[in-house]
Order: sequence, then structure tokens, then C-alpha cells
Amino acid sequence: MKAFNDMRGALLNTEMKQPRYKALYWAMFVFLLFYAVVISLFPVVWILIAGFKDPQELYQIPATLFPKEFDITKLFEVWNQLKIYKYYFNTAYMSIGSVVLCLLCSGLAGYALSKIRPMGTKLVNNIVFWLMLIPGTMSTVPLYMTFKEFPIFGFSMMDTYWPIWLMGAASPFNIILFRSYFNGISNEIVEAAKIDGLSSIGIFRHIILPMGQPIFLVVGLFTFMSSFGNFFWPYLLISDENKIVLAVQLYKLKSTTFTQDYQMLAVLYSVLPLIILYAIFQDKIISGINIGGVKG
Amino acid sequence: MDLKLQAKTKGSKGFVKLIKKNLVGWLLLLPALLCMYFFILRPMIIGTYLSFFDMKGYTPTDFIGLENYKRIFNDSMFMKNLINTFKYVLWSIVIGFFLPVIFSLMLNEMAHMRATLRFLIYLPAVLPAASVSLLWYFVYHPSAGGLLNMLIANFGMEPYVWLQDSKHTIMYIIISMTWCGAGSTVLYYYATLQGINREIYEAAVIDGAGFFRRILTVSLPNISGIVLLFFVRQIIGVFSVMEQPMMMTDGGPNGASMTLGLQIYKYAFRYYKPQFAMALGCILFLILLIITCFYYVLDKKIDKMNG
Repeated sequence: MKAFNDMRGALLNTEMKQPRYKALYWAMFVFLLFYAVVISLFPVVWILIAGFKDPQELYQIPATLFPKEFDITKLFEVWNQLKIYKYYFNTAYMSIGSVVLCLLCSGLAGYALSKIRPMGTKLVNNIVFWLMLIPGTMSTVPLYMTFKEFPIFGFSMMDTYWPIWLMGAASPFNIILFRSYFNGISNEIVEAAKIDGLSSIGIFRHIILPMGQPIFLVVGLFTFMSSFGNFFWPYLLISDENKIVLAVQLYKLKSTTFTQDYQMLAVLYSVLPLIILYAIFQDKIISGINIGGVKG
Repeated sequence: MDLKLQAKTKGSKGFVKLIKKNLVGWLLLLPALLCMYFFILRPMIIGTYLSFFDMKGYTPTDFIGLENYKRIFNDSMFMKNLINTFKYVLWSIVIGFFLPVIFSLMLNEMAHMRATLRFLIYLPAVLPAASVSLLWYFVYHPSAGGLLNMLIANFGMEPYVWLQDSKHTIMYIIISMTWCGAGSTVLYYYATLQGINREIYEAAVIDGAGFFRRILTVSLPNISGIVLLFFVRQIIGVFSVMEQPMMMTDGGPNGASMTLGLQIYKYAFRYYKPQFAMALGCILFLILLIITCFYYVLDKKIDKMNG
């Protein structure tokens, strides 16, 4: 019962001696645990278990929760037959490109808006804020036309990852995140570096990058994770068989002859990298929520 | 004389510095600004402009005024899809709005296994929407092997068609979306709740306030701002929903889970009528704009209430 010393909510440690508050606490605990394990976790585990069944076993009545045998080689079979490695590579390539461009463009823009503040900064700040409110659904067709034939230059971005990379680079939300984080870095350090003769780019490299490491890591992680599951635009723009990404292939699997158990393990493969990433970086991701949650 | 010269050169040096600062600043802003112009602002303007044109393929032909809009309003699907979209929003409020508030309040009290609970509750939120849709497609699978059918078989019930039951398809899709989205909302609320100074609770206890009274008078007012923000974000997000019904049901059965967003997609890439897609996009945007305006009015009121 030592843990009750670490209460952080509306219930006080001292109250936990009263039976009715104790009962209330444990009721809430059981409820949350049920949700976390049964609702949140179980569907993901189930897809793994069910994926090991034979197709006949999947449809048999009465259905069983566990397959007759766990044949671990089935995972490799799916990996090879569905060419998961190829889609992993393509998806990683697309996602890492997004991350690099996003950190570079949005990071530099956030730095300029926070520390250099050229003429018109206020105007740009306002524009960035308002752009955040435009829903993407409305621009589907004009964007498609832009990618098909880029204005002025007239080249096509079909069958490349550039549309996804460039759209990731232009995220108003990330610019705002960078700007507000850099606002927390003291101006005196920047001024001192200027007097020492560092250029604006030098300040970015030697002061902003190291001091802003947490925000770069957080924005990078979130960009990678959202880009990894990117479905709609890759689906519309990429028809080259060698460039198709995982989420698109998952959707296409639904209308192929691959049996349901294979599709289930493919779903598992599509979530596995993100779960691993989340398990490794969970503290960073949670702290990212704290940064992003600051309203206004 | 010397002094004057010095002042002059200093002045011009300052001028050079000012120019340099602006030049460098704008140079660093340029990539992001260009991207935002070409991929956010310009498409919106072009989309609005072309919604008044007739098109052949992707080239505009004649200016036809509001003809596209008239055609959309006369399309019998429009009203049905609009109502469907509102049903999505309604279900997402019923299912997805209160749960995160309750969960975050509970999580805030936990002294045991806090990190584990947090990890598991947020877990679905890191999964890609496409995978979640497919995962739930299997959970809802109408065969005996679907997860839910396996569960109800334990109670002696026959397999049920779930997503194919046109009366409840929207609710089932919203459940899968809530499963994925609730985790992150819970953690945002939780982060705000953790910021409340515990002395306020202690003072409330001295005033004789029980647990629920403390929640009502201290916790809820403190998160009301962010709850409102997420409420509006959720409405806007669900209102333009497209991917999830596309992956799970393709708008079916028989159009029962169609949304305006999916109709935009279908106009553009299945029926090859991009002008309708753009006009419908403008209608969607207008509706969302009205919702956003509501938000600003409400937010100001709540700010005033909290002093």
C-alpha cells in the first residue's frame, strides 16, 4: 500500500484509509485496467493469434480462440510471399524523407520566426495559424492537379514520393511547435553568439540544434509515425509496383486471393514497427504530448 | 567632423545589418512558405475558383456560375450523405467525447501501474489509420472467425453481420475510430490534469468537498478549455472523414456509411467529375468554417468564466 503516497489526483493520500474511498479507487483501477488490457491491447494480440490459424480453421464453427498449432515459420512465409521487406523499405524511405524535409523546413522557419524575426514576422505568424484551419479534404482535386502538373514548371510528381515529402515539409502545426519551443531558448545566448561572430546559420547549428534537441526528436517521431501510415496520397499518386507503400498494399490485399490469415499477419507487420518505436521512445512521445498540449 | 563620419558609417553598417537580417530571415522562411503556398493555400483558392467552371477531365472549359452546386444539391445522394455525416459526428460525440474525459479523470487518480496503464491506453493511437481500419474489419468480420462473432458465440448467439447491418454501420466505424483516437485525447487531458496544483484539492477537502464535488469544482473547470478544443477538433475531423469508411465498407452497404468526404473522393476519382468534387469541397469547408467560428465564440466565453 506504499504506492498511495504517490497519489497525484483529487483523492488525498490520507483519505485512502477510508473504506469507501479505497473501494472507489480500486473500482476505478479495475475499470482502467480492463480497458487498457481488454479493449486497447487485446485486438492487436488477437490479430497475431488468429493469423496463425489455417484458413479452414478461421471459418470453422465453433470458432476457437487459439490456433491448433503455432507454426512460427508462418511469419517468415508471409514476410517472403507478401514481400513485406519491399514495402517496409519503401515506407521507410517515404517516411524518413518526410522527417528530414519537415525538420529542415519547419525547423528553419520556426527558428526564423522566433529568433531572427525579419520584417513581417507577425503577418507570417498569423498566416501560419490560419492555414492550420484549412481542412485537407477540400483540396483533394486541386492538389492532385498540382502533383500531376506542377504550376509554372509543368513537371509531374506522379509515381514519386515528392508530394508526400513536400506536404510534410509544410506543416503549419509543426512550425508553431518549433517557434514556441525556440521562444523558450533565451535571447541572450543567441545575442552572445552573434557577438562572438556566429552567422545565423551557425547559431542554428551550434545553439538551436543542440538546445532544441527534444523538440526535433518529438516532431521527427510524430512525423515518422504519421507518415508511416500514410495511405490516401500514396494510393492516389503511386501506381508503380516498385514504389507502393505498406498501407496501400494492405488495402489492395483485401481484393487479392491471399487468404485472410495472411492478411491478418500483414496487418500485424504494418503495426509492429510503430509499436516497437513507441515502446522505445514512449517517454519522448508522452513528453511530446505535453509540449503539443499547451493550448494557444 | 570625425564623429559625424563615425556616426554615418555606423548608421550604414546598421542599415546593412538590417538588410542582412531580413534577407537571411526570409531566406530561411522561404522553403516552408513556398510549400505552404503550393500545397495548402493555392489548392484552396484554385479549388474555390474552379468550382464555378465546367471541366473536361482536369481542364476547365466554361464558366457556369453556380451550376455545379445546383447539380450537387439535386443529386439525391447529397442529402443522404450530409445526414450520414451528421450521424458520424453525433455518434462520435456520444461514444468518443465523454469516454476520454472519464478515463483521464480516473488515470489522474492512479497511484499503481500508472506508466503501464498510460502505455496501453495510448497504444492504439500510434497505429496507422489504415491498419486500424483493416484490424477492425477483421474484428467485425461476418464469418464465425471474426473476433466479435467469436465472443457472442460464447453466449450461444449466431454470427452477426456487423458492418453489413446498414442501420448500425456508422456506429461500428465510429467505435473503431474512437478506439484509435481516444488514447491520445486521454493523454492530452491527463497532462492538463497533472498540472493542477494539489493544494487546491486539499483546500477543497477542508471545505468539506467530497471526491465528486472536487472533480466538479476543481478538475473539470481546469480542463474545460482543452476539452472544448478537442471537442471542436473532433467534430471537424469526423466531419471530413473519408479513409475509414473507404477502407472498411467503401460507403456501403448500399450507401449507408457514405460521407461527404468519401463522396468528394468518388466524384473526383471514380466518376471523373472533379468540378463536383471541388464544389462539394467548398460546401464542406463552409460548414467547417461555421463550426470553427462557434468555437471561437465559445472559447472566449469559457475564458471569461474562468476569469
